[in-house]
Amino acid sequence: MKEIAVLDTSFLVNIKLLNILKYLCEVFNEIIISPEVWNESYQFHSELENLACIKILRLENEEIDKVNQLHDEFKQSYPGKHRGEIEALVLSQSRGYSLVVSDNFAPWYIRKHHDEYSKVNIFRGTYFIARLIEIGVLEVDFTEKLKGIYSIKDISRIRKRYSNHE
Amino acid sequence: MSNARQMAEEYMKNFEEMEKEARKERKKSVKWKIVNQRCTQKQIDAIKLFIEYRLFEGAASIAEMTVLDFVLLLEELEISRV
Repeated sequence: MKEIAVLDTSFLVNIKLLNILKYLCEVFNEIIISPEVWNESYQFHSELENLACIKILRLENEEIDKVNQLHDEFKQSYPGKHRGEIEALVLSQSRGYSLVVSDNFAPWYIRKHHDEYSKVNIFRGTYFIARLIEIGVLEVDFTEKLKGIYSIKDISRIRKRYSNHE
Repeated sequence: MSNARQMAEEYMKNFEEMEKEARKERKKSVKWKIVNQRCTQKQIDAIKLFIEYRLFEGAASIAEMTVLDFVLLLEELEISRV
């Protein structure tokens, strides 16, 4: 079963470097990209534009207010710019979509402090890779390429679960 | 429920424990002597934030780099993104 997901920049960058960005539409019916994530991904817009399932979604005023509030709050404890991942989280929450991130610290922190985000389904890149193995796009051996990106424990779990997968 | 979904849910349930282990792996991977020789002060500050919290966008903005270029820098320095 395919699904709709909101993606953040770090996830897109990680799968681009693994050369599996092209498989996004095999797993997701529709991929939602927020304006900030789109701007942050400008170096590989041409690759993203080739994907038929990608949709860049403009935020409603109420969503922009939530993003500003959460970004200000998060920045008080953690320096730097985090707008892309926060836009992705707010869009996931308000529209009821899953969120796929590599930066799951910020969504985890916000979920911990704001109950309304506790129901957002948050997935990491390993979910996407595991789904690609499940549907037969990738072989289990692809997990060899994940060293240094995902923990040895995560990689072993995928290998164990799918080594007899048909 | 698919295996992939089940694994993802287990990860978020055990996030703090998983992140503690991941942080150890990231810290262990940094060769500070090389980082200090090759990087600007802003990049060093960014790497420190990344090692602690794996905040890709936050760290890239501190380094004044794009997320893609920052990740390529981490790869060049053989710093774990776990």
